[in-house]
Amino acid sequence: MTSSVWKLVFVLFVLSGFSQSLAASSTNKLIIKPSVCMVKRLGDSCQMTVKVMWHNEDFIDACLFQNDLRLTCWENVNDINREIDISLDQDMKFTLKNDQQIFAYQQIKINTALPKKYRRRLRADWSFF
Amino acid sequence: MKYYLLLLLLFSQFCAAECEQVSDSCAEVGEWKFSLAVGAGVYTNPLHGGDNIPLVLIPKISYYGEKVFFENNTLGYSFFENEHIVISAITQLNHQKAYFTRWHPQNVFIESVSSGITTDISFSEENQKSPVNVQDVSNRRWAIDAGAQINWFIDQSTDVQVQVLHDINNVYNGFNGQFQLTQMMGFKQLPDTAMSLSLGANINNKNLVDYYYGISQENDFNLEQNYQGKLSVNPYFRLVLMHQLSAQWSASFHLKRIFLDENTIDSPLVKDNHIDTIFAGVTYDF
Repeated sequence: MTSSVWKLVFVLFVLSGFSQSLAASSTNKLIIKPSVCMVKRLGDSCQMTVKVMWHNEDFIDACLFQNDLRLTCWENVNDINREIDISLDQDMKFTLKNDQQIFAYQQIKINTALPKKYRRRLRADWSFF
Repeated sequence: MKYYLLLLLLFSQFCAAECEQVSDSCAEVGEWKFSLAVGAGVYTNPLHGGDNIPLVLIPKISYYGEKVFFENNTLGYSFFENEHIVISAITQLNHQKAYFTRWHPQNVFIESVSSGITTDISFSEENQKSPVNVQDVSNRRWAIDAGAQINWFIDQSTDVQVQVLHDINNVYNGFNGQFQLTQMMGFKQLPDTAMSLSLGANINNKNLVDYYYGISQENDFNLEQNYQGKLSVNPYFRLVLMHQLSAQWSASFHLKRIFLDENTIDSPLVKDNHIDTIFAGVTYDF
């Protein structure tokens, strides 16, 4: 009997620890989807609508920044779930922060559909001779 | 067939309008390209006492940026480009001095095998000029040319190239130009093989011919004759046959003959009426 109680306590302990770690992993993480934007060639500008998600136990005032550019702000929220339009021509860091602290951030990457660029060659290999 | 597109890439000036596909015979922007050809060949020297230049190892290097390009001895900047026409400002080494030296910059890995002094001098009935050995004239200098180059890509396999250049280091103080039409051909039965044929002409103005091939007692005071150079139009043809062996290796055969203008041949320095370039070998792309 005593042995069964200890087993039950052990299982509860493991489960509580697991749930705590699960909560920690899902809390305070900024999720922006999609996180990659495809352009035809390097240097092209990318416009897309992304979904911004963030959740925390505490209520905060914070703004979302694209590098140093402020995009939008929230007051007294602990749950963000909104679609916004963004524009970027290189990899950018999106940060949720206020004057006091940084809550979370995520990188949005630019990928090129045509990563290599070619141009016509203008001289022959043997042009010297 | 699998190497055919790679083969097209190696034929430098034959690509047509668009360059957005890997399969086009185009250079990748921002990438240096090195290759080394190994084989046997010769670059003949038309001058009395001049050394033929053996071709054994030939390094090749190229770089293409958005506008800038470097291809062996040519540095260029393309300031106009549309679907068929590219206009570039270029600078390059003038190769005339190569006939007067045993140290050809294009062949830094090659040792000259000829003695350098022996001259086959003969007098013919038709040509009463007294031959002048290249070692007996004053030193000719390397010239650096600069000017404009126009590439006209007529279609996928045909292009025209025109150059107008002037030396910029005060060597011969003149112009030279080049016109070249190139046609590329593939073979259905030999999908990894391609051939190109070029017809063209080098135009050397009076000042250039006079500086390199002229003889004056003012400069060559130990000689008793004079020769004043004149405008020369030297037509040529070039045949290139290439077979792609693998992704890195290709075998090739090059043949070029320049027919010298009489205004150049008449110089006492000149013994041949043509200049040949012949080479057969394999090339490795790094």
